[in-house]
Amino acid sequence: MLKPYPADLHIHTCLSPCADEEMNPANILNMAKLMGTKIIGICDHNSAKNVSSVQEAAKHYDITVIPGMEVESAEEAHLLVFFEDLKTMMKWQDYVYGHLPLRKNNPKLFGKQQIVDKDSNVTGEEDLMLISAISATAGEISQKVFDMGGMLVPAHIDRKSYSLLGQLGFIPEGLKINALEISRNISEKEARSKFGISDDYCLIISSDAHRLREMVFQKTFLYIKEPNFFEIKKAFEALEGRRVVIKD
Amino acid sequence: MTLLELKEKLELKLLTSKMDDNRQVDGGYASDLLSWVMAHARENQIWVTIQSHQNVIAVASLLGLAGVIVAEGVEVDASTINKAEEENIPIFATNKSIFEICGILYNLLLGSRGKC
Repeated sequence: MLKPYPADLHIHTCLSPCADEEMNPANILNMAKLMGTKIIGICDHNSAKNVSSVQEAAKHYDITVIPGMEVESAEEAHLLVFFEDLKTMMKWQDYVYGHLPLRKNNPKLFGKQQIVDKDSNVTGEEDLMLISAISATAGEISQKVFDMGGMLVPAHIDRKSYSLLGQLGFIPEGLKINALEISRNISEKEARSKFGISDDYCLIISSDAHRLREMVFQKTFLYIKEPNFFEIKKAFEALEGRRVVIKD
Repeated sequence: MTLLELKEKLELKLLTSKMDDNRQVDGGYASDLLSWVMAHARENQIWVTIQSHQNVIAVASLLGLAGVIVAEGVEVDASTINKAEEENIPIFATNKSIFEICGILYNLLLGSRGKC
């Protein structure tokens, strides 16, 4: 039996320098619960250090947390990546950290990068500057993610800053993409016609929430059997009846 | 060259409410990749770009750049201008292309040094 699961696959935590400090596991999960969101993706900039805490905290909720990251390619395009489990996600993080410039964050200019535990206590700060491109291109990232069994979703492609279309103007041929994300500022129909996106590409809308109040846009529904990575992947590929429905 | 001379000679529009007219500009840098600029631009340079995201200001402030010229008539978001005010980074607008601005700037900054 397929059921519609409200999903928001792009949510930042307080680890992202540009996100509010209020974006801790308790607040994010309570807001998701309030909105009826059943699947959330935690996607911080170039790091996944808060994913495990949100996953742990989610054990007390009827909400599934998919490990994710918003990685910045050498072209400065933001790409969401998702993996089946935390272990693979942390392996991916090693790859990203190995390709980040060794520059320290300046919290005054870019914002704090807080690491939290499952009870939302701040346990530390990430020193490395996460707001930066890694030295791998979108093509290299897509291949690596594919090889590791992950999913790649170019983020907010309708935005002029930090998006694949904004930076390159086109979707490079051969890029292994599972879906494309559009921002909440545009409808699916508008996005498809404005950017010439064929029906071969699955579109999702996520909140890209950096603040709690930005989580109130619940537009993407995944018709799947169970809330897990593989079912979501099938929905993106429209396999076995699984599908993505956007309600504007 | 000072910021005031730069503004007048390049016919730039100042988007922030104020600037230090006498601030020295030692050189220029042009790129639209923020990470690239972060790695290669130098203090007291003026940065020419078509990017207008507020992180442009954070990068300029981090490096101690003299200012930012947003070229080609690109509109600059209010959030970017606010951040520029906070960080005291003058942000200029021009309809000229990056190529034109850099050409004029290069002659102004390096052409005046003469040959020895």
